[in-house]
Amino acid sequence: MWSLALIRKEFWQLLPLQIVGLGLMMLYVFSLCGFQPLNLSVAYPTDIPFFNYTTANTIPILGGCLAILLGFWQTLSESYRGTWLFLWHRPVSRMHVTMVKLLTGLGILWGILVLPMLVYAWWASIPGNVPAPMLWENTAMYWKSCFGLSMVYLSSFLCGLRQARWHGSRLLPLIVAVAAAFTLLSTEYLYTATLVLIIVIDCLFLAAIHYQLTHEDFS
Amino acid sequence: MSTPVIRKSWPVVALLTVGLIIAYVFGAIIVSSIVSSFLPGPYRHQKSIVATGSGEILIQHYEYLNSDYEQYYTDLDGERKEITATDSPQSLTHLSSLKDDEDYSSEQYRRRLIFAFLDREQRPRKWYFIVENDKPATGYFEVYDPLTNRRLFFVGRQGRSETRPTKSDVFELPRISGDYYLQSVLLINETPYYINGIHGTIPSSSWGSATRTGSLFDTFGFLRSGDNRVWQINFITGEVSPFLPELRVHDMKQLTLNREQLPADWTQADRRTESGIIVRTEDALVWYSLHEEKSLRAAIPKSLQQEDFSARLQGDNRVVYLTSSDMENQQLRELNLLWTDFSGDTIDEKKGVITQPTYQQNFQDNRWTAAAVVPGFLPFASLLTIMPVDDLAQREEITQAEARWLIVRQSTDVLLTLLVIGGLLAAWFYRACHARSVEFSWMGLAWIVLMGPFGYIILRCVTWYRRPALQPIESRPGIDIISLPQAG
Repeated sequence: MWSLALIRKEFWQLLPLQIVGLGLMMLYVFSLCGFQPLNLSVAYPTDIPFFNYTTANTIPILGGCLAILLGFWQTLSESYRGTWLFLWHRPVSRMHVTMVKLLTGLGILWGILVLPMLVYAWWASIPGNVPAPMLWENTAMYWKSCFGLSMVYLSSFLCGLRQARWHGSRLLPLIVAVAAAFTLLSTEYLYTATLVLIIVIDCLFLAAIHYQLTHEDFS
Repeated sequence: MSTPVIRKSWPVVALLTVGLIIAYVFGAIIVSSIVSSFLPGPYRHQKSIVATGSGEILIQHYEYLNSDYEQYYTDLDGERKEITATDSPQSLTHLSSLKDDEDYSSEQYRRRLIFAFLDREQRPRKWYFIVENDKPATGYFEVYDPLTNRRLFFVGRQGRSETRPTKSDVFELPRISGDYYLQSVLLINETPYYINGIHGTIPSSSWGSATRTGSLFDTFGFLRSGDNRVWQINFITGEVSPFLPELRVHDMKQLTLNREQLPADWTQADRRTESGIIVRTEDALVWYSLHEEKSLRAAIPKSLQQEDFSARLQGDNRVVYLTSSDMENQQLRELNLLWTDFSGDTIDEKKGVITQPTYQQNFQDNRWTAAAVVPGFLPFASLLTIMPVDDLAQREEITQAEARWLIVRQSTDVLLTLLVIGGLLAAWFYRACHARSVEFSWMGLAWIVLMGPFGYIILRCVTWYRRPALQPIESRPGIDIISLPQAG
């Protein structure tokens, strides 16, 4: 199965990023639980679960940085090693190869951001662990943040694909995604409408990626 | 020779254009902010009405020029007054009428808000007031033990319970208006407090809010519900009972009065101040002492019963009301004072004590920022023609037309800069068109001069798209790429 082989390749190539990202996530999750791994001290949790700056701001910003690194890593590593042509000349279409790369990248991003927080939410909901209410409704903003970071990831992937100058227009799609992420992920109103907008912007990025794939000169 | 390939599609063009605009506006705001910080700022003079501890109503002046400022007080006739350190003037207490409550609640607002505080037990327990953004908003309390971290009980309208209050047991809340709204909905402390409704930390004893003062706040909190009633929450037992049940409360604030504001025989205790709650009903102000557990009542004059106002209880059975009224055809409001006795009869009245802009207009020091957001000669000039100048006209005591001409003259440097930028972009566009053999019109150049960078971007995209249709790389014959000379 070529797709499994490609997923395996992407997984191993992105392993350093996964380790760093997961490590930072675990630091934040432990600190939410009241355990400070860096100075090996145990205190009481100080944050109300999913009603604090860490889950509202810090972790989404960390996730945004991770999304940018993942998108660029997956594209620039192919460019610098000159392996695009090798990939494009497999007996599958460019879009299929790219979709597998994108799904792998998004899977890794969401896996790193979602799984530790699911464990934290489960832990916080056990009576006696946190002297504060754990309201599952309040986790919705965090899941929306994770979903919205797909815009940042796709824009980074697009910037990596485009052969424009770095000091020219190459990073402009990333600016759009970052601005959209700040706007849509920080608002707590119009939850459904912001989700729809995120999907629309994702589709715009996918269309742009598709165009780049078919018109870019990768030689 | 082959035609040069322009690799653009509408999704790409849209993303690039939006990205460019965002980058430009962001960069321009930063640059203009830096430039503005080095330029001399305008002279400003703000006025407000305050009351001293002894009850005298004064005008507070705040004048500043760049980083220099001066604060001073005058009486209502404009005579300067010296204020002693112990007689710190304070604003009058704002009390809303029901009709003006804004409704910011939204079914789309997903999260439940959590307001955390401590009770005043020896080992303070952690209380959370949880607001559900239904229509209408509802709320209930959850209480946690500080040692075991376990939930002790809930408190709903029926009092303490072991299970989460059902829809019929929660408190229906007045309409929500932002983070600060709890200051007129839930009172738990003598001092005005700010509870952050967006993010919260678990309350700990280091918050210092658990000091006992001998008032009802040691045991009780007070919650205003959506049906205009006040409930007394016992923080020790979790019991809930009506507070001043005969009153229908339109607004409620914590208000500490000093001895000069109270009748001479009010208390035997040696306290300089008296903690209490002031509530506004349909026709009266009622201040309830949380130390003495008795109240003062002052009738609201009929003319103010439907209005928002600020008020202050004076010591000699008098109340002073501060109201504002919009001035006709202007973005200004004038502040009026009305003195009444406790039966609501007017003693004195002063209209138009000061005027305030309904919003601050400081265009002169924001003109570069505005130019950054509207970076074109014509859009910026249009902005100058539609911008309200009432505040400037009132401040400078000139006519509206003169005020408008004044802001045009104050913005001459910005207009010239925008014209130069437009000219440079037009020259750039002219050169680029020549280099690419693209047709252009002189109207297009005029458009860029007048509309600035965005006009340039839009015109460039439109003009460039007149070029031959693109071909995907796969479908182009190799000879196009290599550009071999034609045989023969």
